[in-house]
Amino acid sequence: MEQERHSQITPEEARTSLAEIDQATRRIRQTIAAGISAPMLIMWGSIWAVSFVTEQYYPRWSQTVWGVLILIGSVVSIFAGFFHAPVKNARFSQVWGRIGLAWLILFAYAALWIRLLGPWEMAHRGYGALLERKVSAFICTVCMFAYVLMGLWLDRFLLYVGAAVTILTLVGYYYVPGHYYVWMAVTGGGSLIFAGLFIRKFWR
Amino acid sequence: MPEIDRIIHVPARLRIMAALASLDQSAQLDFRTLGKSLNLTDGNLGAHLQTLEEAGYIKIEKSFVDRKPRTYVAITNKGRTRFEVHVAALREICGV
Repeated sequence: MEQERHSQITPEEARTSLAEIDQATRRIRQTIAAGISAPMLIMWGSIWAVSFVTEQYYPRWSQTVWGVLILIGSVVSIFAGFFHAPVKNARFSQVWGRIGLAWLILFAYAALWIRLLGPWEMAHRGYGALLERKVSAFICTVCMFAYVLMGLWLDRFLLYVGAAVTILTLVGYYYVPGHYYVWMAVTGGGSLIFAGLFIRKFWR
Repeated sequence: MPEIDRIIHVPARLRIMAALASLDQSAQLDFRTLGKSLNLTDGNLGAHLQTLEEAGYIKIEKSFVDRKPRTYVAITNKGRTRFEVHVAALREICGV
């Protein structure tokens, strides 16, 4: 008989089993989160790093590099989310689809805000470099705003990453204007890559 | 009165059931992810999964992603119920 009255199990053994259940539950959630978040953070960190370095040293190519890499990153993110996720079910696909849609809406709104604020008028008055830095810092902080929001729903770690990169973006914008893009490649891209590696190492 | 389930009570199987029961009703978990999370080798995990499958507590599904075989594991309704009863029995013993 596989099921039996529990007279043979001591309270100590039962407590140990309950602790194992808690630990297994916590670990599986972390492993699932790591399976999705770690490669995404590493990939987007690398995209930031390469694109910002291009923007600093090869500004003529920066728009092309940003555009191509963001497109590749988006396609890979969608593909990985739907086909390589550690969990397979309708709800997971729905959540993943909504996250993708939320990012798309956020970028559309960011583009709308930039248009409404009309920073290009400054470019005619000789503020071109400042304008580009402003728009760049704006987009970076919008992305990190999304990380902070995702952190509230998915995992607090994303919230900390978002807050940390926001602070680093502001430091670069105000205190390292001459090397802002390199600063963002190292600190912004580097932080995302580091966060991905940290999750991969310690959450499994 | 809740009862201890001897199939589930083996530590590795208890952790497998806990991990699977923490997911949504229809969720299937990747075999490798489960093994990594619980620190079980493929062979060890496979043997425990077979026992649980034979008891009707889980179901195993094999599919192909990018032409590579992938194994997914999901808890059944029976398995979820038995696990909940098992946890209730453990709590009762502890007096929780």
